[in-house]
Formats: sequence, C-alpha cells, structure tokens
Amino acid sequence: MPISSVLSATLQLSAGVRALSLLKDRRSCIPVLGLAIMLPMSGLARAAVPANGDYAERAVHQVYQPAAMRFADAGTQLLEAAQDACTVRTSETLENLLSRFEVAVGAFSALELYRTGPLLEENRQNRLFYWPDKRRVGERQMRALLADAAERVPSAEDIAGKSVALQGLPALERLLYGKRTPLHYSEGNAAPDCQVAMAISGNIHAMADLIQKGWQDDAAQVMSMLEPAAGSDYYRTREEVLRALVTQILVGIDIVQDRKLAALTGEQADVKAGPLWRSAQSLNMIRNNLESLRALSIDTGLAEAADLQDELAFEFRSADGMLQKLQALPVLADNAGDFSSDAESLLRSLMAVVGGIRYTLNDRFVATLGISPGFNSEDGD
Amino acid sequence: MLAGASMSRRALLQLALSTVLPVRATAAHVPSSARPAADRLFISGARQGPDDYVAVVFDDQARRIASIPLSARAHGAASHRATQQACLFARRPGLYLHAFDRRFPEQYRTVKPVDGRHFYGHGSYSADGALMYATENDYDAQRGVLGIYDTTAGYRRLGEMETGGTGPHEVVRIPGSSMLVVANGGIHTHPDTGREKLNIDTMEPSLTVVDSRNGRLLARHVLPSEWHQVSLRHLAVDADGNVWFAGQYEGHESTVAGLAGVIHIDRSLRSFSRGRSTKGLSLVELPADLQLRTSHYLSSVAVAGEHALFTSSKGGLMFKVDRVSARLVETLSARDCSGVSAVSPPSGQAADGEVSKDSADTLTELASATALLTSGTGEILTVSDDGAMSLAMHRVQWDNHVYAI
Repeated sequence: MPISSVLSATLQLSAGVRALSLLKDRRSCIPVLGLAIMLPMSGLARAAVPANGDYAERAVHQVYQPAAMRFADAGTQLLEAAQDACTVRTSETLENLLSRFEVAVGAFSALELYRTGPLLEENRQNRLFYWPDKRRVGERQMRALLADAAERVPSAEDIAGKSVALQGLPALERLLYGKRTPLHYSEGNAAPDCQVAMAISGNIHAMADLIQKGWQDDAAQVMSMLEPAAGSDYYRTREEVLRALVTQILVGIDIVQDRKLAALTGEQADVKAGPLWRSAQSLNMIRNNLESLRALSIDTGLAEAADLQDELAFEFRSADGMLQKLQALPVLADNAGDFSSDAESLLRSLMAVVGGIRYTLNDRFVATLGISPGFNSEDGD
Repeated sequence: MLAGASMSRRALLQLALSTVLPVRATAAHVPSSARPAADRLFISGARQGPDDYVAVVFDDQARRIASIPLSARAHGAASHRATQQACLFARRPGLYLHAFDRRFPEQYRTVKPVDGRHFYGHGSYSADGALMYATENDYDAQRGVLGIYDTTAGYRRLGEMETGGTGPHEVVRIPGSSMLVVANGGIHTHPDTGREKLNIDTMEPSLTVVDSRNGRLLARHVLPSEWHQVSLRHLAVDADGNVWFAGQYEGHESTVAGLAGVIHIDRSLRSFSRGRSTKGLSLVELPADLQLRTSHYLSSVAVAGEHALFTSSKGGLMFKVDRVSARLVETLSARDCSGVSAVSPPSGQAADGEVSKDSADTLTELASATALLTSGTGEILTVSDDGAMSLAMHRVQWDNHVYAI
C-alpha cells in the first residue's frame, strides 16, 4: 500500500462516516472532519466540562506559559550562539549554533499550534515560520539581503521590517544549512552571512521574548482567559475560553495531518517536501507539534472531563513512539529525497495513528465536552 | 419585467441609464475631507455568542476596525468604491439591509423590505453607484426579483425586475456593463415557514443575465435535468467578465455535476433563444472523493488572479480552479472555512469603480497573498501560491461570507 493510500484511506473513513450520516438525514449531514466548533447552545451536555474554569488555569500555567518560556529561553540561547559564532569562528561555536537552532525549532514547534494571542499578534507566527515557501521567495529574498548586507549590515530591527520570508526559522535555516550561503564556509568574522544570521537570530529572540511576555499573568488576554467578563475584548464567558482551547486542539491536529504529514506522505512526497528539511527538522517539528496538542488536551484536564484521558494518552504515545523510531532510522531517505522503505512504512503507520487521534478529537472529545460542531458547516446558505 | 413600485417605467429607465451623471450628495455621503484613509477594508458577519450577531469591518492585517451589533444574522455585502458606498444584507429571510459609507460602517441606514418581499442576502451596485440591486423573494408569487434602490435618495426603493427564476441568491454585475448575473437557487421559501425548503423535488435553479436598464432577460442557463437539485447560489466575476458559480446539491446521488462552473457571457448571450442559452456554460470537473469531502456543498466563490477559489465549510476546505482550463489545481484544508475574498481587484472591476467582492491591494506583510479566507473557528487566513496561512484568530465565529468593501 503506497503512503498516499493512507491519506486516501483516512479520507475514505471520513467519507464512510459521512455516508452513515447520509443514511440518517441527507440534509443535516455533518462530516466528521473539517468541522469547526461553536458555543454550546444548550445546557444538555455541559456537565462534563469543569465548571470552575480550572482547565483555563491549567492551560495558562501548565501549558502556555511553560511553552512560551521554553521558546524564549531557546531564543536567547540562539542569539548568544550566533553572536559567539560570529565573534570567534570555530567549529565548536558553529556546531553550537546549529545545535541551538535545532533546540529553537523544537521550542517553537511546541507552541506553534497555540494559535491565539501573542503568537498571532504582529503576524509573529508567519514571521517565525513562513512555510511552505513553494515559490522560493525566501531564497530570492535572501540573495538580495546578502548582497545588501555586504554594504550595510542589517540589525534585528531591520530584519523585522522585511519580508516574512526573511524573518524566521526557515530563513535562518537557509543560512545555516543552505548550499549557496554556507555560513560555516564563509571566511572572516564580519562575513555578511554571519551578520545576517545574527540579525535574524536577534529577530527570532525578540519575537520569542514578546510571546513569553504575552503569556504572563498580567497580560490582558491571560487575565481575561482566567477571569472572563462581559465587555472584555478577549473572553466574555468561560464557554468562549473553552471554545478557544478546543479550537486550537482541533485545528492543530488538522495542520499536523493535512499539511505537515501530508507533505511527507502524498503522491509526490519526499523528504524535501517537509518543513525545515535542510536541517532535518521535519520530524522534530511534528513531534513537538503533537506533544503540544497532547498537553493542551490532556494536561488541561479536558480529556479527563471527556473521559478520554487514557485513550488519547495512548494514541499520542503511539504517535510519539513512531516518530522516535523514524528519528532513529539510520537512513531516512536517499540523496534524491526518496524515503527508505522503513521510513515509508513508519510514516504510513504514523499517518493512521494521527488520523485516529483526529477522529477521537472530532468525534467523542468534542461531543462529550458538550460542544456543538460546526458553524458555517452546520448552517450555511 | 419591470414593476415600478413608486416610479414610472420611463423614469426608471432614465435613471438606470444615467451612468454618466454625478452621484448626488446625500446625508449618507460624508465630505471627503472628513474621511480617513481606508484602502483595504473587509466586512463579514459574525457570531459572538448565542443569538449575538455582529458585522465586523477589518483591515488587511485582520485588525478590527468596527464592530456593529445586528438584530439578526447577516449574510452578503456589496460595495462601490468610487462613491464609498457599501451595503450589508441580512440572511434570508432577510428583513434588513444596512447601507453605509464604507469608511464609517457604524453610521448606517437601515432599509426594510417592502410588503410581500424579503431579502435573500446579496446585492450589487450599478456602474455609477446610483442604484443598488438586491435579490428579493416575492414569496406569494414564488418568483425572484431584484429590488432597485436609489442610493442617492436614502436607498428609496424604485421598483423591481424579475430575475428569471425562483430563489435568487447572489447577483453580480459584469464590470463596464449594465448586465446583472443572477444565481437563481431554485428553492422556494416562505416567511411563514422560515428557512424551510418547499420545493426540493421540483426545484429548477438557473443562471440568468438581466439587463438592468430595462429588466430584459438576456441569457439563461439551466443544468441538465438530472442535476436540477443543484442549487446555484454564489457568483464571482473574473477579469475577463466571465462569471464563476458555486452550487449546493439537495439530492441523494453520490456524485453530481454542476457544483462549480463558469459562464462565458458573450456565448451565453449569443446562444440565447426561446428562454434558454445553449452555449457558454462550462462545468468544473470535481473528483468523486472531493465531492464527498464537500458533502456536495460549496459555500462561496471568489476570483483571485488566475484562479477561482471555492470554499466548502462542510468539507473544511478550499480548492483552486485554473481560470483558463477550468481544471482543479489544488485543495487546501481549513476547518469550517466559508468566506473567501480576493485582495486584488480584477482589472475590469478596478476600472469602473466597482469592487464588490474583489478588491483591495496586496497585503503589506504577505505581498504574495491573493485572497483572504474566514472560518467559523474565528481564524482569518491568507491564501497564496504557498498555501493558506493564519493571519489572525478572533473570538467571533466568522459567518458565511467576507467581502472587500
């Protein structure tokens, strides 16, 4: 069975569920996948939701804040490593910079799917991770930036004013791992690519710092999440907070499967279709993405409220196990980018397991929490 | 056929022909000196909570500019850039339209439907902005009409003309012309039974071209009889003046034709005889698995650059169709997405001042973006050749459509 068939099978599963709905009532059919959620419109099924808002408190203090702190720390270390590498160019400082880059990728991936508040303010998500870049905007822009940098070295603030394709992790990866702009082959500490890498690292650090500040207890969104109130610009009710949390989980699993895993398992899939493939960080990203969704659904108490804690924990554990095996493979792909048969097999399994998580979340998780699926999908015109 | 409610046929014709007359200043037209710069604005209805609906105007960075409480759920919008006018329509059976200066959306004029009519949720302006045409239901006669409103006189209703079908939904004007294209969904509803569909077994949707100057039917397309339950509902005009349409299937077959397609106006006009056009209609071939994913339900359509973009909220996806070949290009996943709007106007529409759903310049940050996508999750995404990317997450649930105004 080719890997692409797995996605197809997942879709067929969805279609099969849909077909069951069709048998019941064609016009009120609600597909399992591709749904949004909306506020509970009746009190019928609210009983499972922690009434005291404990899930919000746990989300802030056990999920969002630790993730934001981890990324801020990683940003700081990344900038320091870039400064070191540009100050004293040795194999050690360069290796350290590469290592800090990979740590930063992991830390970013662990909050990338918390698509709310500080990550989305000032377009930070896209500035940190502009992907996919199918038209190679980053490559073209980087050539121009390096040419300009030979005349005038850009600062982190300068980078913040440039194209999103130059501001974040993919741009830095291009400098650190790209063939045409190999930082580690440049000569001289004042080489433009080194200075540009430092400026991009500074920009990443600055954004990470602002995201961390945006998740502190005194940030307006956090206060509103913990104590929603009528008239708030953020959350007026606990139901709105709940909806925001569950939306992040559902949209997050969509992104992992439909964008990131699909890039590795589609008809034309190869290792270069994945995010940050030059630095071999695709699997690291997906692993941290899934861990972030596990934390938001389980560590908040929401899965427990839905009586799905054990089941979801098992599914997330299974997915993580497969990702660990993939990362441990001696050969993931050949030089042309084609996956090895072992990798293909594991990716196929991973796709199925993530599809299972998605099904659990879309079906029972949402229903047991008393959240009605769909707004446009349920009531269009 | 024209049925002037408060104006003679001749006077109406004169008014409809007055494309070169300056638009008269009214209370709704604020002096330009008082207007802030507002090049890139979008409007969408939204739900904030149970029975709590608003219209939100936001800029190209998805920053909220205004939020207007609504008495009932909104649906579509229309605008006329040269005169700064815009309209927001209530969702069917619509009992209001809000007319406003696009830069001051909180200062609106409410227009109610006349007796025996309700709004269907969409409308379009004349080339000079002096008139606005709204799709309406003459529910006792079970016929669709376009209500004609004088924008220079407080949106006074001048009369109406038939759309050539039942259940007219979206109407668009071919830029640089007086031709209105109407998607007659074919479904009859009556206010006494709310949104209940009363004629699913016998519904007869159509796409018609109406001359706004005199109400003449210039072209009319219907799908083959076996697909008569594809309700043709949403429209978008491309730079060549072709009109893309999106449908919603009410039947029970697993695959269907006619969910998406395009009509070429010239051929439609030339082949129109005995109440029907025999040429000019092209259907987009959608694979069976994609049809299943969409549940045969397309929510909205827009034209952006070289592509027609179709959303399906039920499928949680958007797909792109090449405008030249009418072939499927790619599918993007976006949960509960429905609203889609181009961020750059097709050249023809920019030229005569109308922007309707295709307007605005490129995004400052994401210069490659060609369209905006809105979702019931509260997310606003940009669409470019690189895919769909998150721009903002709002706490509201974005309703069916988003329009550049």
